[in-house]
Amino acid sequence: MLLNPQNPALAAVLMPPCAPPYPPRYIIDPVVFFAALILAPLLVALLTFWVFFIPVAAIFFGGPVYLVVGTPLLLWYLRHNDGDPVDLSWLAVKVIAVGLLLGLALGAVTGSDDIYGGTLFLCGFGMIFGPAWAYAFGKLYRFMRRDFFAKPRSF
Amino acid sequence: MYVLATLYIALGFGALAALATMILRIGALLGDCPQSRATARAASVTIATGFSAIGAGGVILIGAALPLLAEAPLAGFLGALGFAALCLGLGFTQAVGTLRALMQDAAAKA
Repeated sequence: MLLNPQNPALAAVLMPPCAPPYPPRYIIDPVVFFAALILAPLLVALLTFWVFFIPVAAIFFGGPVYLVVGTPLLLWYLRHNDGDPVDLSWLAVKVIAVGLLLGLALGAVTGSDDIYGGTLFLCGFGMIFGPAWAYAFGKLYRFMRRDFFAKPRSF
Repeated sequence: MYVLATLYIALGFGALAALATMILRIGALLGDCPQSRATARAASVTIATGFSAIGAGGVILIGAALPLLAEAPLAGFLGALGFAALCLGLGFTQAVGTLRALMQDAAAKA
């Protein structure tokens, strides 16, 4: 009787009803994630193209870097965070600062002016467009996300 | 170049197929309990389909960058394959998380 798996006392020992020892996790709405990832830079460019078309050129120069670095980073970050647009902007600032330091260090070690100039160019404009794209991504993602994916879960 | 591109396609889609199969197998394992069998099977097939579709798109799009790196074929091949594996792995984590969340919601409803 006691060893019957349906016994509530035994079930409580085998599967204690307490929360796991780490903070709740989020799951990503996949379709909305990729839609927001692509649309965010386009939306920023659409709203600010009157600034000498710099935001449009930024898509061509920064877009590949944004996709290569942003996709895995956001897939990881949004598992642990709710994707608040301001948080995502700060994340972009931090990542670009790290990229700037790495690029400058690489330029200093190799003595290559191309790496130095490329890093300054990408990270300089990146400090403007990275946070802007991340903010737009957060707004779009949270606007389009379905309720099922919006609640934190402890598993 | 063509050998590496073919190898990229084989390895990229091989990894995708392996991960999609794992989602189906995890669904079958979760469906061992009779009450949750229908939910687990339907959910795992749906999630594996979505994962395969999005993953295939990703593998193809990353592969489209290979010709741009034709000057350094091996670096391009390894970089593209590594990036694809990284994103597929992170997507797999999300897919299994979604499967578990569906089971959790179904258990809470029952």
